[in-house]
Amino acid sequence: MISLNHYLILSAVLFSVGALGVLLRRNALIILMSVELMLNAANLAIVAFARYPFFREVGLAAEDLAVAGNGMVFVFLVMTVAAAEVGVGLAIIINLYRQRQTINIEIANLLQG
Amino acid sequence: MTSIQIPELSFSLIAPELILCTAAIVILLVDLYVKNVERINITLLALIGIVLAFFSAGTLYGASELAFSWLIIRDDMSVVIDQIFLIGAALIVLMSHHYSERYHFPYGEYIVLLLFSTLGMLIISASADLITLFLGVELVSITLFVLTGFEKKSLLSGEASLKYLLLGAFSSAFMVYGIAFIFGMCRTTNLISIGSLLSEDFIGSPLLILGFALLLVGLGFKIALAPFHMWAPDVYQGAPTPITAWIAAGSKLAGFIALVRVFSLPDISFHPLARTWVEGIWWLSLLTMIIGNAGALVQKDIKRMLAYSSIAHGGYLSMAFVSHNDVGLQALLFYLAAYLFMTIGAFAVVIAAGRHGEERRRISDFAGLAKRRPFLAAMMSLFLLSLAGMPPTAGFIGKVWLFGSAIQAQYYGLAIVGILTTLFSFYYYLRVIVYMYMRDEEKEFEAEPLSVSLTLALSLSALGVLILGVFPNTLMKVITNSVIVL
Amino acid sequence: MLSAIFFWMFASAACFFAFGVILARNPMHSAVSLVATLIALAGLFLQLHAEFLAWILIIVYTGAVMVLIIFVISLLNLHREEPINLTLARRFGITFVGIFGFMIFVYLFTDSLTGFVYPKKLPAPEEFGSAASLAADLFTRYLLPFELASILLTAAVIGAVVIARKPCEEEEPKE
Repeated sequence: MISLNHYLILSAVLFSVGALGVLLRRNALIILMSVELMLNAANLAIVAFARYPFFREVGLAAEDLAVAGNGMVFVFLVMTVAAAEVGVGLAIIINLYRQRQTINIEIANLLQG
Repeated sequence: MTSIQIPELSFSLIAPELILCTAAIVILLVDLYVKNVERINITLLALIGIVLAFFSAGTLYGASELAFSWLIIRDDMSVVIDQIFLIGAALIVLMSHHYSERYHFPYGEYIVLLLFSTLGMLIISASADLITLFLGVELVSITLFVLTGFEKKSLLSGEASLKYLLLGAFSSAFMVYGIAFIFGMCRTTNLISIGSLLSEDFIGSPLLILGFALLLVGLGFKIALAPFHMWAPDVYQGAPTPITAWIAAGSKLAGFIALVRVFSLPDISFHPLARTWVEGIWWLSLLTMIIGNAGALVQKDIKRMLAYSSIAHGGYLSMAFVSHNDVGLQALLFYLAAYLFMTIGAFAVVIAAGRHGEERRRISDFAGLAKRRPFLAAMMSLFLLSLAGMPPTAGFIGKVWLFGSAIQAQYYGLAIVGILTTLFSFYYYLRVIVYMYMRDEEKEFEAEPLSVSLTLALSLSALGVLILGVFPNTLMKVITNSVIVL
Repeated sequence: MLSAIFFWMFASAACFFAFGVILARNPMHSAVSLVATLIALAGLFLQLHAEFLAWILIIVYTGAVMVLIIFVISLLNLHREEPINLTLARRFGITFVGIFGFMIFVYLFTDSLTGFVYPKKLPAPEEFGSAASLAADLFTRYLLPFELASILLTAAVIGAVVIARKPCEEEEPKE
């Protein structure tokens, strides 16, 4: 039977792979894609949590229930933010490519102490 | 199909945000439809918007309510912080007016993005929910990524904005993942509900601690705490100088306020969870103070030096979370206000000391400034001494208060490290002053004459530093009251 | 049983293509792998009854965002291979991430061992995850974040246009 843990572990694996990509690769576009992977891993965790609610012994007070969050809305907003980030990111990458003819962040590295 | 009920919308409680947003949109439209609009008009429009927002925030003192289905909290603390942000934004607009004369970037869009980033900061200060907090942080970050890359002729600016973007997006991913775990364990993203849930004897599961830790990592990137500070010197160096000032002052302030909102949840000071993150922040604070001050010692570039100094200040400021008491929170708010004035002032001098196509970038370029421009040299000395923490300035009061809070909470080790690194920091701040007053300049260099806007920005920051240093009582009283209400 | 088979199918596909994203030498291969990962994730969203989000993931992400990325890859002509060389600092960082990822596993497993019981899946209410239920929340309780997201997108559009367009006359310094 598939439980919450399965989804959480999958999202942890995807998140770690994304983080690994950010550290491993020097191509700005691939780093941006790795970040997208991380964001989507987080989204998967939120949706899984929303689907498998976790009830505690201590019950929620009535007023707390009234403000119990909706994970779906948060996922929706995270997707919006991610799209905005990609849009701005691609513009910045194009700008850098126009200036330097490379998007490798190790080659384009003038800023040093 | 259930009928939809619109909840109560209390627009008056978010009046400053609405005014700022309106101002930004008006400027966008004016810039679009009016041909050859003068820079001065855009600046004036922006300043009018900021001043109106400032006064409308002032009318909200004593409101203390939750609005928009508990997404927004309007307490006195948020009002004080809003006003500090708005003063900072006004100073940055004044500086930008001068700077844009020099480099001619698209000014209308620049100001619009600047106002949007300020809007994001106001949203952070009034957030009662992780969703609004996240959106505020992202609004600040995304506008600043763009503003960093605004000098398209400069290779440094483009590279800085790419680095900022990649690390900013990376840290957002950590934030989202942290919020995911907090949401999963608490079934809500509302900070007040989370606070009351944790105050019941619901012992945090490891996942909840993990969630808060990830959130701390994400916000730690934004405020450049020590292991996550690598981006700061590069970005500060490459960004247009007014934006560097805004990243150093506004964005850092916003990150700390976000931390205040999350980690000073009411009712949970005695929760076992609190001890866990106090330990985490203890290490981060220690590391940040040491790395920031050590890094500043070896820098040759003035903006990089100020970047490391700002990292070190992040270390002092996060001490307030370790002491985790009312005094710490009050000291944090006071020092943030003081820090805003002195940082913006120091960068304003860096702008004023340059001219088109030739900036004083290296510290040695400041040699002999006192002979050529005694006013600028005096200003720079004032701001640097305040950053170092010399007695008549705001920096001194703030540091004493902060270290006092750590001592009161019996974190003697941390306070001692803070005092030692502060003494250490005098060396690199005084080095700039020695260059300005005691060395002869290497080559002839005449800076641009001071414009009205830049003079205004400089003198207002200086006034802020001195007033907070000599008569700190007014702000202290406001802050003390606001924290008690919290 | 069927749902378990679907889960393992989508999960293994997501993991496989996720490694493809970070290991492919050619950015185009990375982008296509990411598209595949996202489609697998959309399948998992469907399994979790988040139907609206699953379709959005496919329409917005693979349909718009990823096409944009692929478009930029072809525009900049970035098919050259990039050698992966590791410095000491990065080895350290990567080890750190590895340990961090491992810690997440440990946390999760110790959790379930110490009697932290996760409940079974709720029977799906009709509206769970549908467009209607999401909209009902988004336009009432979460109206403010929705408006904030619109401001964020406006700012991003302005920023992207300013940064990506070629420097025009206005930006030239006047003599």
